[in-house]
Amino acid sequence: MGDRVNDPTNIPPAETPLEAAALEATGLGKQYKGEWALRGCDFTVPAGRICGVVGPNGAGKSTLLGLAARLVAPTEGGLRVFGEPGATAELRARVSYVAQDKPLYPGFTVAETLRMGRELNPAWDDEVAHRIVDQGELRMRARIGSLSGGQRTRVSLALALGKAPDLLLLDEPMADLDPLARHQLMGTLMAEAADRGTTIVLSSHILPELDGVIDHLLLVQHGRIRLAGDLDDILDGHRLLTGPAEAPAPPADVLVERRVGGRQATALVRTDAPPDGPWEGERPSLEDLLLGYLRSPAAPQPSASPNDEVAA
Amino acid sequence: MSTNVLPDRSPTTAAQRPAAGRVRGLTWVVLRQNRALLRTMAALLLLAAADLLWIHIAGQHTIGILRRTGCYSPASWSSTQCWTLLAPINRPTFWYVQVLQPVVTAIPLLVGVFVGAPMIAQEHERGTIRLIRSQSVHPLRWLAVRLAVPGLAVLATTGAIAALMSWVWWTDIVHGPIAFDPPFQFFTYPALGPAPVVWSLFALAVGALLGQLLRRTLPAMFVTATVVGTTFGVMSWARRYLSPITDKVVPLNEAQPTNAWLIDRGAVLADGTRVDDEVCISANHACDGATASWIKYHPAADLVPVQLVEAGILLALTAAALVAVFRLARK
Amino acid sequence: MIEYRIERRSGVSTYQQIVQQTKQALRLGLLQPGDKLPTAREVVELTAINPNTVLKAYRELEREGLVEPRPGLGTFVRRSLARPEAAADGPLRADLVGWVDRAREAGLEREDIAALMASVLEQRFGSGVSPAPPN
Repeated sequence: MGDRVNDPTNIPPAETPLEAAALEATGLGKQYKGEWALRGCDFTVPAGRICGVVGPNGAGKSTLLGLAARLVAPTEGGLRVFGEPGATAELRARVSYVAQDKPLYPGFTVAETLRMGRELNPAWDDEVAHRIVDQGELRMRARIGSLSGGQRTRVSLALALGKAPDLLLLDEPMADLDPLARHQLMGTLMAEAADRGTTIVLSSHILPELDGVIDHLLLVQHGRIRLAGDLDDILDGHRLLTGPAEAPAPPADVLVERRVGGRQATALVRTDAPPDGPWEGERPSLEDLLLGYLRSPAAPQPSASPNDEVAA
Repeated sequence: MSTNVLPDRSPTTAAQRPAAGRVRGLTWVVLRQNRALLRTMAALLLLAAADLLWIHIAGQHTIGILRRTGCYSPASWSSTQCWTLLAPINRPTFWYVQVLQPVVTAIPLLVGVFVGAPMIAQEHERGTIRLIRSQSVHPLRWLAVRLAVPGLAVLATTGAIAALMSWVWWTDIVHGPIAFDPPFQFFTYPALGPAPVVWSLFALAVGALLGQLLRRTLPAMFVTATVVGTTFGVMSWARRYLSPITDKVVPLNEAQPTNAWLIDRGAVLADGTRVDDEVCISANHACDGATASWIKYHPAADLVPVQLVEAGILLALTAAALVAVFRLARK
Repeated sequence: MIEYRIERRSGVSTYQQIVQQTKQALRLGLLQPGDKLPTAREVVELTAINPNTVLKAYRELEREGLVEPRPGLGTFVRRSLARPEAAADGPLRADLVGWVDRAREAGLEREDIAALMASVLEQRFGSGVSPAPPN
C-alpha cells in the first residue's frame, strides 16, 4: 500500500522488502472432481507489479485467479495475498476481481451498478468509476442487459477500479473489446497503477495485448507454472538463436523449442551464454518467448525437480 | 451567489445528500435486486385486500337486509321473497370459497418455485455470486440480507393475506347464513390462520436450499415444487395425529358435530365389538344387529391446536433449511 | 509537452523508445531546459504501457544528466542536446533539405533515401548508430 509511484520525482524502490508480496504461492494445488487444475505451484508476485498470467485455454489461469480472489479454496498448499493466508475483511476490501464472463446484474442500470459498488465498498472512488464509464460513452440509464460484451467489460472494470483496490485480478479482461477500447482501457489501468501503485494480475491468451504492459510473468501450462519471475530477468535468461538448418541442435537441457523452416533453423534456449557453433543469438521478444514455450509443452526435459524451470 | 451556507455543510455531504431515511449499503442493493418481486407482492396484496373487503362489505350488506326483513333464519327461505333477497350472498361466498381459497392454498408453492428457487440459484447461474464475493462485504452477511429481504416481504404479504382471509372466513363465511365450510377441508385449512404464512416461509427456505445445492434455476424450481408438494401431501395425511382424536360412541348413524373433521366411523355390535364402516359395506351382514355407531373426529375447535403444532413443525424445518443454506455457503 | 508514440512491434523495447524519443526531442530543441516531462500517469494513460517502464526510462535519462526530478513537482529537463547547427533554421538542415529534394528529383523513394543515409552514416560513424542494449 505504501508503494506509490504517482510522483515520478519520488521514485520508489522496485520492491519494498518490508511489504508482503502481493501473491505468494507455496505448493499450491487445486483439484476438481479428481482432476488437478493446478498443482505444485510456487511463485511470488511482488507488490506494485503488473503481472501477466499466460497460457493456453484450460491451463489453469482462471483457477489461479480464483484462488487469489478467494473464490476457490486450494486443495493443497497455500496462496498468501499480501501475506494473508486466508480470506479476511481487510483483504476483501483490498482486492478487486473481474471474472472472465464479467457477471453483472442484468436488471440494474449502469448508474445502479456503480451505486452498488459505492454501497458495498467503503473506499469507493466514484470519480474513477465514472471516468471509465464516461470514456465509453455509456448512458448511465442504460440497462446492463442491453449492453454489448465490450460495454459490460467496461462497467465491470469501472466497478473493480472504483473499489480502489491494492490488488486487481483480471481474468481475460480485454477479450471482447475492440482494439481502440482495449488500448483505452489498458491505458486507464496503467494510469491507475501509476497513481495508486496497484498490483495488477491479468490473464490473457492474446499475447500482443501484454507486450509493453507486464513486467512480471507467470506462464501456466497443464496446471503447472513453467516460468515465473521478473520479465526482464526471464528475457535476459533466454536467447533466440538463428542458424543454418543443418546446424547441430543446442543442448537438450537448455533447448526450449527448435524449428526448421527451409534452410534456416531457429531455436529458443534457456541460457544467457553466447551461443556455440553457427548460431546467432539475440534476446527474444515477449512473444518469441511465449510462443516458443507454448509450442513445446514438454521441453526442456527438467533435469531435477518439476519446478526447475521456475527461473529468475 | 448564495454561498451563505452553514459552515458544517461541506460540499461532499451536499453532493451525497443527507442520508436520513434513505436505504444504504447492502440493504439498498438487495432491495433494488428484489424491486420487481416487491412490487408484484404489493400489487397482489392490494388486490387480495380489495377482494376480501368487497366480500365482507357485500356479505354484511346482504345479511343486514336479511335481518331487517326477517329472512335471516333458514326457516324463512321457503318464501320466494326471502329466497330472492338471499341470492346476492352467493356471489361473494362463491368467490371466497371457489377462487380465493384455492389461490391462497397455492401461494406457498408459487413462493417456493418463483421466489425461493431462483433466489440463490440465479446468482450462481449468472455468476453474480462471484461479483458479490469480490465486493468488500462479508459473503455470509450478504447471504443473510439476500434471504431476509424476500423473507420479510413474503412474511408481511402472506401475513396480511392470511389475517384478512381468516377474518372474512370467521365473520362472513363460516358464520354466514348459508355457507357450509368446515375448516379442515382441502382448500379451507391451508387458507386459514398461520398456515399460508408458515407454508410460504417453508417453501421459500426449501427453494433457497435447493438453489444453493443445484445452482441451476430450472432444476431448482422443479425440485422445489416436488419437495413442497410432497411435504404438503405428507402433512395432509399426518395432520390428524397432530392433536388427540376424539373417539365417541353415539346413537346409531348419528353424524359427527357440525364442521368437525370425521376421521373414521363404524358400528358397535351387540357384543361391544367395533367394526369399521368399510368392513360393514364390503362384507355382507357383518354389521347386522349393530346397537350404536362409533366416530373418530376432530371437532372444529381442534383447528387452532392442529394449526399451531403444524406451524411449529414447519418453522423448525424452515430453520433447518436455512442453517443448511449457510453451512453450504461457508464451504 | 512531449507525447511519446510507442511502437509495439518495432523490436525496440518500450523503455528504449521513451529514452530515444526524449533524446530526439532534446536534439531537435522541442524540449528545452526547464521544460517538464509528462508524469508517468500521463504517459501510460495515452500509451497503455507499464508505468514502471516510464519510471525506468526517466531514471536512465536522469543518470545521463539530461533530466532532474524536483520533489513534488515532476521531472524537468536539465540540459539540451540541441545544437544550433541542427536547428530548424540552421544551415546544415537547409543543406540536407536541398539534398533530399535533389534525391527525389533523381527518382529515389523514401526508403531508398533512408537506406542511402543509413549506409553513409554506417560508413562514417561505424556501427555505433544502433541503440546500446539495455543495461
